[in-house]
Amino acid sequence: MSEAVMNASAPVLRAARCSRCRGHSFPAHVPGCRHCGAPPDALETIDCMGAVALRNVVTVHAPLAPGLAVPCVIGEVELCPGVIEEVLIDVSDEAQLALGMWLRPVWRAAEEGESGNWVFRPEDKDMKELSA
Amino acid sequence: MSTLLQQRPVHVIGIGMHPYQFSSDTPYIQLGLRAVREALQDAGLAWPQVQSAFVGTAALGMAAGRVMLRHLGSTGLEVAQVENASASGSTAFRLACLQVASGERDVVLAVGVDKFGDGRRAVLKDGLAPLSPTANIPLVKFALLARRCMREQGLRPEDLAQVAVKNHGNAARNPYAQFRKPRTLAQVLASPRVAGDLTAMQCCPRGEGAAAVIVVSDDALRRLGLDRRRAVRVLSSVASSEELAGDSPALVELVRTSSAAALGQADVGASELDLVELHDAFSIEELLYSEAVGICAPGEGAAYLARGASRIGGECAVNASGGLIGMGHPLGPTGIGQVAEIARQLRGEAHGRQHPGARLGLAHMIGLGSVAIAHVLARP
Repeated sequence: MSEAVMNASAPVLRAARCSRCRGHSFPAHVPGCRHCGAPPDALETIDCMGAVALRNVVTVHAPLAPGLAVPCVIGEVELCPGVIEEVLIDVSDEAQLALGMWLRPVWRAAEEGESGNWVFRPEDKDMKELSA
Repeated sequence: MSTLLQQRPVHVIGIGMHPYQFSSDTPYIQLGLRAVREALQDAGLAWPQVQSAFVGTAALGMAAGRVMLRHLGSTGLEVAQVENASASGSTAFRLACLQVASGERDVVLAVGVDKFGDGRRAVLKDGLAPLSPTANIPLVKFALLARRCMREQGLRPEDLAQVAVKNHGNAARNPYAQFRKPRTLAQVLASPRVAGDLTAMQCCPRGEGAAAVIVVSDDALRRLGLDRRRAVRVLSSVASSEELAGDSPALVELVRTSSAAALGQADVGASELDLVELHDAFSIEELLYSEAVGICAPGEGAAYLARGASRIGGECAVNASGGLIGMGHPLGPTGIGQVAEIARQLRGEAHGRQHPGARLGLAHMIGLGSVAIAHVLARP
């Protein structure tokens, strides 16, 4: 769970912003800015818990990684400016999604013997308004 | 700017292969030694005449080259192992060419050999947990890229599948290929879906094999009495890695810039290429890289394939070997296998799949989706 910074109640999804070039990197604890190479002490963490728009999506049908339950839906989002990341989307069918739909990161707690992980869920209208 | 390869010409004089195949109990040294012995015989060289060896492998482990090559006899040659993911063999070939071009050696072997299963990827040990469990799986990245291209360029599933139809067809004519059966469009489309619109027959197989190439200087050609009529000239060698590229796919941009650099160094225009071997691990790649290399216009990759321009006998034969989809992609050997195929074609010795009148070829390889190696080769 290295990309999640724990606070008292729940993990927070964070990235890094470079104080030198203003470029963004993920995750927050990268050992250098991926744009200009600035060291960690030049990077500040930013919160990525807001809703992000779905840019692309596919369904993975084959078990391509250990523990990857298939079929699963994988999307691309712009987590923060210029940082496009693959994310696991918590829907049962790709047809439930549309490009541009707002998704919000949710920490899915671990089951016994496993580690937790981030999933992205379609945001309902009320949540979208809150994040605006 | 004059490069080392222009100042001191380098020639491919020997090529050898162990056919690519599904995983077996055959030890890797037997795969590699068969390819090296075939290359020596092809060149008309004896092992003691080889001064240096670069061994490309991604999965075998420490000192694989020395362990293998000692079975050819004790000659004291220099041995270095090269790992650069899928571009391991291409990088070994590049280092061999540059060593000859530098004047340090005159006869150098590049050999790629691998068996599937032992590779450990450094990206899984960088301490930076990815956001998605698929983040380091190339197939998913290319499935997403394919979906984007289908949306933005109007590509259809059939357009992707036609790449596999062509390349399985070419592989069926290549005795070194892992797949030896032609496939129909219906068969490709009906094979199991893997991710997005990519079906199993549009993805390269896992496997093993070996490929070897011997490169020599002009001096060696003369001094050793080698057959200059079968010596394929290496016109250029380029290596680079991806840069952040805004909204355009960084990898496609990397292919574009590295191909342009290799063609520029060789003073060859993309339209002059007769052969291109490129990284078609997944079908969408061939369509996009055909455009990026410049053999067709941006957005025309599918149309170029559809009108037969990239088939053997067309304007520029793309993946005449069968490519990674048909010939196979055992990692370490793959890039050297590309060079061997182009050399065979340029000599006019690709019996059963010869592209007529071939004069110039480009071997272009990608490693881990982020490094590119490109070489331009010319007919003797």
